[in-house]
Amino acid sequence: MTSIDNFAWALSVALQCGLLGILFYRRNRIPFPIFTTYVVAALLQSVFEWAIYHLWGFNSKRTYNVSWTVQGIVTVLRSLAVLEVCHVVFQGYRGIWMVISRTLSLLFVVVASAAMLFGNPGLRILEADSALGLALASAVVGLFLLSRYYEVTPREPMRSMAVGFFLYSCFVMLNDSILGTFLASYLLLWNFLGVLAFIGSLLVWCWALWHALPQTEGGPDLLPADVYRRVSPGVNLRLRALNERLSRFVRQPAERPRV
Amino acid sequence: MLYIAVIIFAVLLGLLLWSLRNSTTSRQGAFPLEDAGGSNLQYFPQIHQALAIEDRRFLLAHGGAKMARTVYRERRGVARDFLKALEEEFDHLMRLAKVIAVLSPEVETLQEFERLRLGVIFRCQLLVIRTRLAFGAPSLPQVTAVGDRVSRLAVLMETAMKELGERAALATELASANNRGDVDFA
Repeated sequence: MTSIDNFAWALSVALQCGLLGILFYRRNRIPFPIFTTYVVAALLQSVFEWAIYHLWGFNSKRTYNVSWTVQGIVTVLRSLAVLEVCHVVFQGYRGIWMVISRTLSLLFVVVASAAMLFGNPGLRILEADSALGLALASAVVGLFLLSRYYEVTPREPMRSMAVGFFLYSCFVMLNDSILGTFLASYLLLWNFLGVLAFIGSLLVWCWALWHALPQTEGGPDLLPADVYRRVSPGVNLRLRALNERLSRFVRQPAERPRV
Repeated sequence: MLYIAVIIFAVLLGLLLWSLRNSTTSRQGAFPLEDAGGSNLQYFPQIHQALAIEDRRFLLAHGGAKMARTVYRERRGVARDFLKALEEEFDHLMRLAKVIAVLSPEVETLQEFERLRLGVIFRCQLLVIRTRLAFGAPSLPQVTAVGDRVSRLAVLMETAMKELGERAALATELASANNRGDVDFA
């Protein structure tokens, strides 16, 4: 490893410690326990990998197996952290959260399965990593699309946290794809760029979580029954009129006259 | 594989930027839920007649080709305005349905997907009709189909409003019963 690799590594560890400090100092670990666990796991991974690279070497088979196993655990925690961010965005909306959580979970499974199915069978671990990156990025995009559909604007810091996850997940996918194409010649650069992308996401998360999450009001209250009683008959009358008009409408085959 | 990854990244980034941009502007452009003007479907018979083949044959036979062309062009403009109004009505119903879904403690996934599907099909059909009208082709069956979408959404809306009204009424009754001490929550 070159000195610039070591510098990037040290900067990444310092930022992870800083982010943890922010999470604890601003009490943001309370609304985001899984995200906090993910950052702790990523920090432990950085230290652990640095140790095994120095102990067993970068190209050792044992290093390869252990580091990918640890990477798998951290990736699972990252997926759960994304789900947690989605949950915090929609926590006041119990009804639509059930629909959204199912939709995003399905999207995640379908995208990850499809990416692994159509990937390079010779590079299974790399493909799995890339597929999960793509699935997470898709889930974040799905979150923003659904929040736009339901007109539920994600507040800060959830918005920036999700964008941070999106950027890092997309970069993982692209970086793995480049490595899959160029293999050995790109290996060192792949590792370095991966650390740089993670630093970028850490900076976004640090900025997003710099302020304490404002206390939620417990979500919107249901409207009083009399409002529905007043609104419902009027809307129903109008909808019934729509139906009646339509039922009278006679279908007619289209034919263009020669004008 | 690398090209595919780059294309996927570009698509995802585009979608993300679009959804982030519109999440702040969509509310500003949204019309109020209380907007309860008359339904545009009341003009369906007139639009139907304006685009009817017999009517155009009659114009061609009695007014000549030039007049038939002028009237046909004007009627296409009216049909476009009608479609715009129908789209606004559909959007209004969709927004109302979404607000109800957001405020409901329980939402049926299938109903939500059905509404989403209706919305997608409605937009596609509207695009087809507008394209056909722009090229001068009559499109009566499509106009009818678009009306059907509005109607099906209306049925979904009616069910949702009724359920929400019942739930809210039940909640009020329970709350008032609790205040009177009639209900034991233990």
